[in-house]
Amino acid sequence: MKEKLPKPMRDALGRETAPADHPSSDLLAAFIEHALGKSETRSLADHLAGCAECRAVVFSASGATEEPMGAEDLQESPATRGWRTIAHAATESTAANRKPKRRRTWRWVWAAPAGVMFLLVGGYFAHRYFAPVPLTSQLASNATMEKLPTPGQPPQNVNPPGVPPASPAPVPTPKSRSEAKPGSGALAKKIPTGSTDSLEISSEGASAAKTEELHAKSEMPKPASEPSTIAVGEPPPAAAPPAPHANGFVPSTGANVQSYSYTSNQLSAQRAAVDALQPLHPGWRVTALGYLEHRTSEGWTRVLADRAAAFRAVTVVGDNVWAGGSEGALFHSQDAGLHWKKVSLPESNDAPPAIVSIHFDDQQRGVVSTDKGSRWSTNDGGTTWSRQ
Amino acid sequence: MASVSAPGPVEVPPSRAVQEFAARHYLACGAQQFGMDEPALAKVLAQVAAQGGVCGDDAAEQAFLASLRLEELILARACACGNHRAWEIFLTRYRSTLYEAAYKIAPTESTAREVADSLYADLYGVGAKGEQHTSKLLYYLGRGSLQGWLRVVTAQEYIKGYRRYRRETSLDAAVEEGLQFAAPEPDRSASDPRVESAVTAELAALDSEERFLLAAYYLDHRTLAEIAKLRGVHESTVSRQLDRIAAAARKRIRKRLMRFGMSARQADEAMQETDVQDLRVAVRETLQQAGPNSAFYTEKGGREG
Repeated sequence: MKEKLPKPMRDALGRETAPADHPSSDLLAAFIEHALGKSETRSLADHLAGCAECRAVVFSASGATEEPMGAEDLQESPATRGWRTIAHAATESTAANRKPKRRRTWRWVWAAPAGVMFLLVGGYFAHRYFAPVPLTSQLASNATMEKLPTPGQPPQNVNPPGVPPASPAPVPTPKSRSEAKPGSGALAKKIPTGSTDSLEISSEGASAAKTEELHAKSEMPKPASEPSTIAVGEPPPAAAPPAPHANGFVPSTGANVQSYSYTSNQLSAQRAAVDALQPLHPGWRVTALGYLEHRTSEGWTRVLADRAAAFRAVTVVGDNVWAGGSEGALFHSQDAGLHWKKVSLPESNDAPPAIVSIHFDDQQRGVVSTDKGSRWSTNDGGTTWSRQ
Repeated sequence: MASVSAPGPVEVPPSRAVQEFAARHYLACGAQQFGMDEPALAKVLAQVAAQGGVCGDDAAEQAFLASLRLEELILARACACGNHRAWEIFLTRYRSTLYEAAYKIAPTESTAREVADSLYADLYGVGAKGEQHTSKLLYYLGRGSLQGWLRVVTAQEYIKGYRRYRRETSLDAAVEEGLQFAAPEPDRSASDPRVESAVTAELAALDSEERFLLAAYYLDHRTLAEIAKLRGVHESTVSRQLDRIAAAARKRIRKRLMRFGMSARQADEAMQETDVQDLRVAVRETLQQAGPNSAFYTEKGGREG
């Protein structure tokens, strides 16, 4: 409030008196609830302007309401329109011969460029985070999971200290995310590759990973009492996964989700690996144990649970879902996961490579990468494949 | 409060439009469960329409009746007639509203309970000494919600009780409580007839809504939030409207005063917020002996004396 009412006018306002007949409580209640018509509202406001007692009643009753009426509700009610119309008319009547009427449309001129900017930024982020980029497979190859257990086999979480992993991890690809970050690359260099320290990260393990990263960055020696294996969170269940349903869907137990095992020379990839736990495609994900899961109304449910493959990558283009994993397992569903078809790549090796990346530009054209570096492309929705 | 203009029930023969309306809404309004038949409903509606001032015009009657909260109106009438089923429903739905409103309006819990109990007796139609009265629920006409009406009558009951208390409290008791009586202010705005004329003309030119806003804010010292809540708009809207009204009024009064022969400076002085004659000097505080610590000049470094 900047303006003050001139004092003589305030005095004159205080001298105003209202007629002795007060409006009924029914009318006052309707006035508070904006249920009166224009003329009644005007006459009642005229009385209220000169009657301090009725003003006190109206404000007391209005203050006793639980919550103020929402502006949206009020805009809808005809009585409120009456209020607003009267107030607007009053404002216009006082301002009519003072100012030239300003064009109200210019007030919202900023909305158009703001909307365009919002769409551009939203589109950029949607393209960046929801495009079918085979990030899971890249990270999986970079992070070099020591031993990815098959779904039917209980995972071995704890690596004995001092014992190197049984199968050496594949060499990270040159354009991996972990190497793209300069800080993480330097961090990876500082840590001896032969170190056997391993770190298990459960779903709550992001902070532990950061702590570990800080330890490494500061180059401070770890306390001697600190075990070489740090287990954060609950260990994954040792029991076998539940039996699949008829269509291959098995309810996820949740405890075995997002449990990674890393060697210390991939500490720089921990953060990226934690990021990789987030599903790339809404409704589909590959857990750290290699389970393919689909979000339904009952939560995350395992898909293709009867398959022995440890899945590494999943991508979704419309209703087409592609999932790939160990031993060349590549599955395709054209109806959003209801029915699956196994797709075989024409690579005739004794040990089929694991599929670590699936990328489809549309429903027909896509590229599949294996952990041996081979890339296969299709232009007919997976019917035929050609090596690149 | 001097009087309440809501009249009691008047016997009005229902018109054809009212009868049609009653026939259409008889089942939906729940009158049947209170033992009220269709002619009785039509009679009630005719009474309400007569009190709403829409008798005679069928279209206006239909529109008026359609705007009523029929179900709550019938419940209130059934309660006023002493229907037990209606009272059960009323107590279930509105008893808590009544007491909550009283707790919010009255400053203390005991006062709130007293107000609510008194109002409850009025609604039931029982006087302070146990005598039978007309139930206050007969004055509910269904224009607003029954809940809102209960809040209004609770506020009226509290204000009535407050005024009764003030009237019955002796001056000695009031002074003992610390009440101070200010001398009536001389009306200086009326000293210059030109100012009075300009202000009166400007006040008459204002809309009733604008005068209500000004009175609520400048006379009753209601907050922007209170006014905004009552009007159902945002505080900033109220603030802008008040600003606009005050600025426009100031400008136009100034113009009128200059038209009456005042110079611009005289007009500004006439509208000044503080007049020299309005200055009140707190003589007691000014002459009061200062404490020993502050009686002497104190340097910035903290050394005294």
